[in-house]
Amino acid sequence: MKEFVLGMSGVEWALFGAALAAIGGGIGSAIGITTVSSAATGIISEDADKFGKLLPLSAMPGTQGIYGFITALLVLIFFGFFDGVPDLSATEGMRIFYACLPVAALCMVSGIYQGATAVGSAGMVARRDEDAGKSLIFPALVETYAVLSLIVTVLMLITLSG
Amino acid sequence: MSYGTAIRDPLRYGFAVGRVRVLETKLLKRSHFERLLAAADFEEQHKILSETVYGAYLEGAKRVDDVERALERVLGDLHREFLCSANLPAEIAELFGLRDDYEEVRGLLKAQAHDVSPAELLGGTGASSVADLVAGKLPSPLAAVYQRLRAVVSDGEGNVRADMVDMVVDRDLHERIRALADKSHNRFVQQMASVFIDLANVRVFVRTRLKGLTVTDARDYLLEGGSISLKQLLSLYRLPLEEAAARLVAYGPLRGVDPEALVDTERLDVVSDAIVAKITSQARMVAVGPEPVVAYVLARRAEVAMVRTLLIGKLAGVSTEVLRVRLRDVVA
Repeated sequence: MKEFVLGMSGVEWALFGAALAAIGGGIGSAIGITTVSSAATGIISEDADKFGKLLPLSAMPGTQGIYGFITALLVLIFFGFFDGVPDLSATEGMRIFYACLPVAALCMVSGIYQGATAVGSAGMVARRDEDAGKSLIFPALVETYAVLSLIVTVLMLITLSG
Repeated sequence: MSYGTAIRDPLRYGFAVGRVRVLETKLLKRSHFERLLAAADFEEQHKILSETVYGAYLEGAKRVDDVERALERVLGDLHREFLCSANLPAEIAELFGLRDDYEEVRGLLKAQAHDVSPAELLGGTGASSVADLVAGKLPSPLAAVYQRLRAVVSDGEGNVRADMVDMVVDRDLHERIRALADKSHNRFVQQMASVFIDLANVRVFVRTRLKGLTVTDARDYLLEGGSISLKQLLSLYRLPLEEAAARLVAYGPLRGVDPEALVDTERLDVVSDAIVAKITSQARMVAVGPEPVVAYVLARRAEVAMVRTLLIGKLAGVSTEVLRVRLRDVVA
């Protein structure tokens, strides 16, 4: 189907959306993990026993990258990219692109802010070991919105693939 | 928190803030100070401090000189083991080391002015060891500062004028602090620089007033760049000291300070530490950024000053009541 929107075919729009979701989530996770890890290494350099308690906090912003990866994978699976180049109109491709945007944008932003929140939580762990459990709650609240964006994106992709 | 700040501050200060969060737990608590105050003698204070980070430093300390040396080592280690290895931005790390380095320059200049051995006046808390300083081996930025200031305080025959040293060193130090704070582009660091200048000005104000200097003479010693303008300070200078102090406590960081403490030169330094501690107490709550780091370093320095007061006070036989007044100023 030879149809173009803004000079891009349907397949190109679909791949653009998938790539953007993977890139956005990856950027958010990379910055978020770097952020909390820099504080965690500072704490561990003074008190090595905190390593185990800080590891979940440091890993938490990594989920956004996974959501971006899942989104990209779903686009490739749902629209038959593994069976060869699919036949998608430019309009269909753009719809897929729009469906990828919630994950692309929200996972990038939430990953960065989750890292910043986790730094504060790491400070709690540094002061009191007993607060290790509580410290996971606040960064987890930021996670909610990354999860919601993934749900929205998955529902849209399911609808479009039906 | 803006998007840029959310990314930039954790990357610049994350490691240092992480270390600070652990080190803060090792700061002395109010109960430690109360026990030090209530201790019957220096030996008992020594025993109390042996449970803290000060224990290793004070091992074998028996006299005032031993305590001074031990506490200088505490400050030296704060510089070497924390500031130099905390991955802080260069201007922030320099900002902290600056005061110690300038103290060494002050010591070198005063030693020349009074024709005594520099070792007697150097604390060894700066970036260079006392041995290097005595041997004239100053690191390049400090050597340039020393040469420049030496030229300023020397008379026509090249002799250092002792009466000029404090004024010239303080002025240059605070100008450098102001420049570094501006370079940091951080509002809190700039606010702290402004407070340092205010406190330096108050010290100058009280001391020149007690010495009976005229307003014109005092003007030469006062610094620009504080939150209390030179105009305000000079307008108060003509008033009786007690009245001037009562009005000064309505300005900037001095709000709420006991006016009597301002005019008591012995309490003034302790009050200055208390003002800085009060301002930085809020900064500790910031999750990440320069604020917790600045707050920790200043809190540690105030703590060392307080420990010095309590230990040396006890050794010198200062009454518990007098020490309690000073403790109240800092740990209120």
